[in-house]
Amino acid sequence: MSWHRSLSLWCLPALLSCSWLSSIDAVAITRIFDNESGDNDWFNLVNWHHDGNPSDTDVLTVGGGDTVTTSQNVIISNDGSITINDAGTDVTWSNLNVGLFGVGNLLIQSGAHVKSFFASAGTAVGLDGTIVLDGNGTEWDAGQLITIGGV
Amino acid sequence: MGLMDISGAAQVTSIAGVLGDNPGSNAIVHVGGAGSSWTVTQRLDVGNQGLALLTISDATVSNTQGTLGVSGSMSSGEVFVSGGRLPLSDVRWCRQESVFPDEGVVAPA
Repeated sequence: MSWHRSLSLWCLPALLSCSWLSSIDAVAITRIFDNESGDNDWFNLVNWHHDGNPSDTDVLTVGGGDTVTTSQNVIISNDGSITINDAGTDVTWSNLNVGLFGVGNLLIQSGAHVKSFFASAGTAVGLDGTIVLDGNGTEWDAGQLITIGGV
Repeated sequence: MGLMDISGAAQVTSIAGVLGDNPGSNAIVHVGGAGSSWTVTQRLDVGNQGLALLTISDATVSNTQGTLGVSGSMSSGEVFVSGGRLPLSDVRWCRQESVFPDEGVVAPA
């Protein structure tokens, strides 16, 4: 078993154990990060409009120069999406999985900065994950490993 | 299917990268446009048991070690460079599971 496969397999149980992981038939909700509490926490439900914990199936947008952090894993699944916009916007996740179940899309653009520890997209046959980065100043520090297509 | 597109001078960094990481998997990665880059500070594997395509157009991908289409008969890795830069001084592509700098160099198409 190769070293990166070992790392990826190590990550999967952690991703699957996310307490906020929603069910397959969850209803997608559009939420925009507004940092209402002021604590910059991704998983503080007050920090989103509409209020609520961000689900892997939601359509989420962060921008306007906000700083957002979490030490938890972030998953995008079942037609969920995350868009990170604007210079000055700074988002830090732990592990990122785009398309763990079904289809997931991540867009980082317009000078936004993102940091993660491990990242994967399209982790198995029939599961589609797309990551798009666009624009001058847009930066993603993906940490240890990016896996595109397969765990 | 996993897709990644880096364009418009966006920049990505990682310690390692794997495209097509299990049998039956597919990966397509495109890095395009002046100033766009993916910097892999260690190893980039293109097609590791799965199928992978990396295209670079007017952009830069750099790594210190890498493989193309290793670990299995169904594995395939392809890299296409068009007007971009894949600095050979930084790249050691080979078809060995264990990659060392002197094992081989394959010039990009």
